[in-house]
Amino acid sequence: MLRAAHRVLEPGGAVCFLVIAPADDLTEAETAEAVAAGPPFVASDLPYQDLMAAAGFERIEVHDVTEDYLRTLGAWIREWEAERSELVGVVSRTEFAERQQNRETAVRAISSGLLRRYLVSGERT
Amino acid sequence: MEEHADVTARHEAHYRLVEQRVLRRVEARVTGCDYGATSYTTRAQADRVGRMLDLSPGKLFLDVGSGAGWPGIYLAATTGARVVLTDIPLEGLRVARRRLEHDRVGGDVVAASGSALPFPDHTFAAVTSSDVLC
Repeated sequence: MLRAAHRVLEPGGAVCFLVIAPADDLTEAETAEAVAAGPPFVASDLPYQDLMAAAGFERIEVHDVTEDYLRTLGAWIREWEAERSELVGVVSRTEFAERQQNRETAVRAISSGLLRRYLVSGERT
Repeated sequence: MEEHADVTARHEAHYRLVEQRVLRRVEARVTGCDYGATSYTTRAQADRVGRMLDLSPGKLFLDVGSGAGWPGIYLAATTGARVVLTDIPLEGLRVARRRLEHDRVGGDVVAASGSALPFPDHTFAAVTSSDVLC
């Protein structure tokens, strides 16, 4: 995606995206645990600084927004619980339980230092 | 990790429900907006992305993996830039198109994978995405 984004950008154009990824410097087993605990789009175990540079971007910045991610996950869990009776009529009891369980798993992975969320930006010169 | 086809099928099923009031209500309380997303991107973060991309009227930007339009449509609405939204689940793009028309926001939707963008070189002033595969 980053190489494709670089190609379609005008010279001087900017890319800025949010991404959930395993923390840096994990063992292979910890990385596998982080990927399993995160949303289905968690795939890369390479630092985004390196991925961005390999795609041709310059002036790369990587901001850690994991605390915001944790707060937002907590808000999803609380607000879904608050609307449980209506939500199970929309998404089914099974899916309600599954989504809440996935969120709790991600919270545990973040709290264990396995999973992080980053705001990444760069420029095409 | 789920296979891509499974994820797409699950997203299609989700987008068929996103205009349900209870989902919009919960989303608004969690993220501050109501675009049919189950995103971790808050309104404050979307505003930060808009500033970092220097979006403004006359600029064209791309939202890769846009889903139902959060935060791409919001950024277009708040900055005046035009947006092209791309994603694979068609149901999400249908919701996004209805929202573009309803809100009278300048933009379009294109079904495409983020790794094979069907646009000429140097088309966009900015590119953004929120929690998609890289």
